[in-house]
This record gives sequence, C-alpha cells and structure tokens, in this order.
Amino acid sequence: VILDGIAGISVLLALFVALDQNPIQASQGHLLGMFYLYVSAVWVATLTLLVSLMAGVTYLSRGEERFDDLLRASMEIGLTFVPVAILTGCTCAKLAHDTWWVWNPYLVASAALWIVYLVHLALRRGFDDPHQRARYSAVYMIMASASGPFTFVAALWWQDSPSMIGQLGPSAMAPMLICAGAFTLLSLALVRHRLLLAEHSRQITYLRAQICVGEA
Amino acid sequence: LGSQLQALVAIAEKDFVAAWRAKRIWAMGSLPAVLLVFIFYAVFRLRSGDVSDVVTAALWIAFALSGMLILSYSFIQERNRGSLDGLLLSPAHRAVIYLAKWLPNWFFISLVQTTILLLTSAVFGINLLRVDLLLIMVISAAGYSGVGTLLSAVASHSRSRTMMLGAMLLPVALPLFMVAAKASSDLLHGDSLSPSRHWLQFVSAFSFLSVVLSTVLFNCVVEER
Repeated sequence: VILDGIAGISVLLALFVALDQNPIQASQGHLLGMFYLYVSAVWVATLTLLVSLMAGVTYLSRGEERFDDLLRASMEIGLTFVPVAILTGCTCAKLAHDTWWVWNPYLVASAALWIVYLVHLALRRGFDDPHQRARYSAVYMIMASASGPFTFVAALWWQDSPSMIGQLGPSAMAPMLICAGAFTLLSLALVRHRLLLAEHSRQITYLRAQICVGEA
Repeated sequence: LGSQLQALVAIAEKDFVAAWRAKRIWAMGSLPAVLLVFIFYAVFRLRSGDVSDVVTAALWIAFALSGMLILSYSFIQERNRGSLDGLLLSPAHRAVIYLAKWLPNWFFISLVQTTILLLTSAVFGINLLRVDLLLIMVISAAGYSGVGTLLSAVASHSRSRTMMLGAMLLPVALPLFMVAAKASSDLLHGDSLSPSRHWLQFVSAFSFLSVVLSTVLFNCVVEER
C-alpha cells in the first residue's frame, strides 16, 4: 500500500513537473514536457527488457516458477509502457519536425520491442504445459534481448534526424529524473501486484486440485 | 570429439538428402519470393531513373520470406514424422544436433537467395552478382538461419506452428535486415562498404552471436522436464 501510494503521488508530481513547471515552455511549447515523459517511458521499457532477460536466464538455470512470474510481469509492464514511449515519441516528432515518425533509434527500438512483447504474449498462449511455456518464453526473451542492442545500433545508422530536441541544459536534469523515478516506482508497484496475482492464482489452482482429490 | 563430428556430418547429410529428394522445399522457398520480385517489377517498371532501392527492397523481402518458409520446414517435418525423439535419443550432443540442423538451413537459404539474386538481376537488368553483395547475403543467411533454426524448434511445439515462427523470427532478425538492406543499397548506388559504418562487421557479429546463443539455448528447447 505504501509503495502504491508513493508511486501514485510521484506519477502525479511527474505529470505536473513535465507539463506545467517547464522552464522554457514558452519557447518550445509542450515539446520538452512530452520529451520528459518519452525518455521516462523509454527508460522503463529498457528496464523491463533487462529484467525479462535476467528472469529468463535465471529461470533456465534454476527452474523456479517465481522467475517465470517475474518475466511475465515485466513483459506485461513493458507491453503497457512501450506504447506510452511510442505515442509520446511520435508526439515529440510531430512537435519538433512536423512529422509523426522519425528514424530515431529509441523510437524504432521501442516499436520493435513492442512487437516482441506482443509476439511473446501470443507465444505463451500457444502452450498448455506451464513448464514448457515458461521455458520457451525464457528462450525467446533471451534471443529478443540479445537482438535489442543490435536494433538500436542499426536504427542509429539509419537515423535521419540528429535529435528530436536540441541540447538539454542542466535545468532539464531535475524534471527528467523526477519523471524517470516516478515511472520506475509505478512499474515496480505494478510488478509487485502482478507477482502477488500470480502467487494467488497458483494457490487457487493448488487448492482446486486438493478439493478434486478429496472428492475422489 | 570425433564421434560428435561424425554425428554432425550424419545428421546434416540426412537433412541435405531429405531436402534434395523432397523437391517441394525449392518450390516452397523460391516461388513466393519469385512472385514477389515480379510484383515489384510490375509496379516499378514504368518508373524512370534509379531502381536500386526498389531492387534492394525486393531482394531483402524475398530473402526474409523464402528463409522463413525454408526454416519452417526444418523442425516441423521432424515433429510430424516423430523422428525428433530419435535424434534426441542418439548419443549426439544437443549442440551438435543444433549445428547439424543449422548447416543445411544456411546452405539452402543461401542457395535460394542466390537464385533470387540471379532472377532479380535478369528482371531488373542490373548486375547483382557482386562479391561484396554475395558476402553480405551469405553472412546474413548464417545469422538468419541461426536464429531461425532455434525458433523453428520452439514453434514446432506451439499450437500455431508456421504462423508463430514468422511472428517470432522477424522482430528478432530485424536489425540484420535493416543493416544488410542499407549496405546493399549503398553498394548498388556505387559506394563501397563504408568503413565508418562497419556494415560487414555488424552483420558478422549478429550472425556469430545468434549461432552461439542458439547453440547454447537449444538444449533448453528440446529438453523434456
């Protein structure tokens, strides 16, 4: 409850900082504020990819279900935050370059990551056996995570615009950190809830099996 | 090591012979790609001027498509015949089985790709048979088949097999296609492989990493726990 409360308050604060307390808002409109949200969402997306990778590797080496739960939770959080990154990135591109799409490496990598997460979700639904599902899901996530940095570099070489925004001054650092921190706290709270849900779901399955055995 | 090498040669030979006899692999791999090249030609033939970028696009889409079809054949056939269990029961190491499956895939994808290259050269009237372009294609085929062989094994266990392979493979292989297409476009525009971009190193690094990682992970895919 404490984590949820802190996450909620910090997200409200971040939105306030990003959209209202912008020091050079007059000169750049809402671009900078949107940029803070975009960078924060990209940061959380990267974090979910790293956590998925580590959870996948740990699951394959130890075989404990809680790491599969963590992989699934981080993938689902990524599935939510990556569209935020794409939408805010597209809005930044529209404000900065008057076009909805630029070959910005973060934007391209985010789009690729979202497809990976969608496919991952479909892959998980293709298996009934939970161990098989967890194993293949971990393998796919490791391959996709290894490909992630390559996608970033490839998009960097394809880049047609140097940056969505000019050089950010030191004054931009504090709001950027507040936004990134708030998004991180929110994702942590969501992961925690997802893990609890997975645990409860497992307990229900176990109790159902016990009841069935008792009736038999 | 000697016996593992013998196993590798035996399994790879089995796949080569099976694919050679079953002519449908050629039709399956080549025909959609051939059609695609003709569609590109039909759409862009009236455009005057430089068609290098169109040729590059046709080439790499055809590559992705034909490769995917060939890769989908790799493990699904083994599962349908029930011969995968036999392979896994053999004394060959799992990494050896993976490499023996990967080698024929690499070979057939490169072969179909060269056929498409020849066809595209003839249709568009551009000489595409260049050593540097062939090198990029063969190395890309190694990486594509490296990831694809592993994911084909994963997809063969899934309910929606062929569809799942395409969906899984393309986002993972995306950087390979982005860089290989850009490098091919530069080559066709008359530039040499730009040293500042390290196209070839990128494609080689991706291919090497994908084969090594897939070799390591293959055991987790075929393991029954």
